Order: sequence, then C-alpha cells, then structure tokens
Amino acid sequence: MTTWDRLLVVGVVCLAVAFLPATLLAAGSSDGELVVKGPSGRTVISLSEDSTSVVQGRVGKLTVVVHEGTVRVSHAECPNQVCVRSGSISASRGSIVCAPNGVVITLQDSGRSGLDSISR
Amino acid sequence: MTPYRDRSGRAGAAAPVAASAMLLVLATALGYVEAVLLPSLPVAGLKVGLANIAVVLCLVMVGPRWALAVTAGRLLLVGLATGSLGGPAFAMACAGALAAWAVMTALSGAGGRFSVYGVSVGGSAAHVLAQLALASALVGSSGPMLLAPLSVALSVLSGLAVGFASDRLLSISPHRSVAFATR
Repeated sequence: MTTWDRLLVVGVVCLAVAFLPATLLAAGSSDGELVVKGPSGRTVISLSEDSTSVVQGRVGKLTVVVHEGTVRVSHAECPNQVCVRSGSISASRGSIVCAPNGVVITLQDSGRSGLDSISR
Repeated sequence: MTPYRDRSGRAGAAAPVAASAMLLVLATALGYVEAVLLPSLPVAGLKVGLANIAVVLCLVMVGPRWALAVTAGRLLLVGLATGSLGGPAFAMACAGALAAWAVMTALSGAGGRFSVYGVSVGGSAAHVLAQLALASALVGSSGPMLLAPLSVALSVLSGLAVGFASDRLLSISPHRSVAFATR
C-alpha cells in the first residue's frame, strides 16, 4: 500500500464518520408508530415504549405485543394462526395480516424507509 | 500499472479483447456466486463485491475502456442470471458499478499514486454511496442514507479484501495467467 492508499482509507473512514451525526439525529427524531386496522376501527400504538394491546377482530381477539421497537402477535383467536407465525416486524420489515379477523398491522414511516431489495 | 501485452510482449489488437472477455467471465461467475450462493451480510445492500476483482484486474492489465465493458457485460449477465434485470435492484447495481468504475479509473490514472488497494477501496466506497443515493431517490426518502456510516466504513474492509485478492493475482504474474487467451 502506498501513502496515498492510506490517505484514501483515512478519507473514506472520515466520510463514514461525517455521515454519523445526520444518522443519529434522524434515528432519534422519531420512533415511528404502529397502525392497527380492523373491524373495530383504526388504532395507533406508539413504538417508543413496550406495550401489550388486545384488538377485537371479526372472529376473536388478537394480542399485539410491542417490545423494543418490534411488533408481534402473541395470541390470536383465529383458525390458522398465520399472524402469530408471522413473527416480529420492525422498521425494515413489512406488516402482519390476520385475514380471518380482518386485522392489518403495519408500521408507519418514521422518516426512514426500509429497503425492499438487496442489490446484486 | 502496465497495459496488457500478450506473451510475446506485444500489445496486439486481439489481446485486450481476449483478456477482457476472460475477465468478463470471471466477473460474471464471481458476481453470480456472490448473488446466489453467499449469504447476505448483516447490513442491507452490502456485499464484498467479488466481481470487482475482475474489474480491478481489467483496469490494471487492459485499461479503463475495457474495464467499463467488463462492468457493463457483468451487470447484464448477472442481471439476466438472477432475474433482476430491469428492476430497482438492477438499477442500484448499475449505479454502484458505474460509480465504482469511474472512481477507480480516476484513481488508477492519478500518476501511479494509488496501488490496487487504493483503487479498490475508492471503488468500493463509491459503489456504496451511489447505491444508497439511488435507493434514497427511488423510495423518495433519505432513509437509505441512514445506512451510510456503517456501509461506507465497511466498504473500506471489502475494498481492502478485493485489493488484496487483486494484488495477489497480479503478483502471480498476471500476463501469464491470461496468456492462454491469446494463444
């Protein structure tokens, strides 16, 4: 490696550090929110603190658990349990749908958009 | 950095074509292997960039124009093979690869100041930044740029890895390694 190579490496690392303040600022500006749409209406739940909510669906109740910014359905009174098996969602990954109960759980944009494809 | 010459030491007209074609095959194979077989790195969109080894080699041994041809050919072939041709992932791959080629060409032509390590690191960082910028434009949000600190920092590591591989291949006598293409 030449001296210029080393200078370039230092320069690129400095560039990475230069992006850091903007990233920290954006990351701290909003925690996003959880929107639960169902037969009983639309409910907005904050993602900033852990919580457990019970949502009334068409055929039964769903228990929605918010834990450290991720969301999952821990229990559902529905026949196939797809929503429970969907696991956790976070800012980078989609939504949970319980079709029999007519409930859709989505994460609203909190200023950051999850990438939906990985470049090859 | 010396231009590619055939076994007899002449820079014949067919020599760069043959060497570039072979490097295109190498770039396509490495790009495909990385896209399909290797697991994704924990940071979205980040990869080692194995195909860039072939582009760096082409840049050093043949020249910038042929390196661009290898880059474009590799993008098309890997895009076809992975089914991403024409999609947003393909657009991002194009943006990254072309930005990397432009920066690597500039660095390799900077009076010999940079070795393949510097050329590769510069290309890797440009690749990441171009992809993040295009991703931000595609989704209409600055969200993807939030990945920039980690992605750019890790691009140094991937750039050094590609630079090391290229350096080793070049030190093994690069002209001998591609000589069969001109027979």
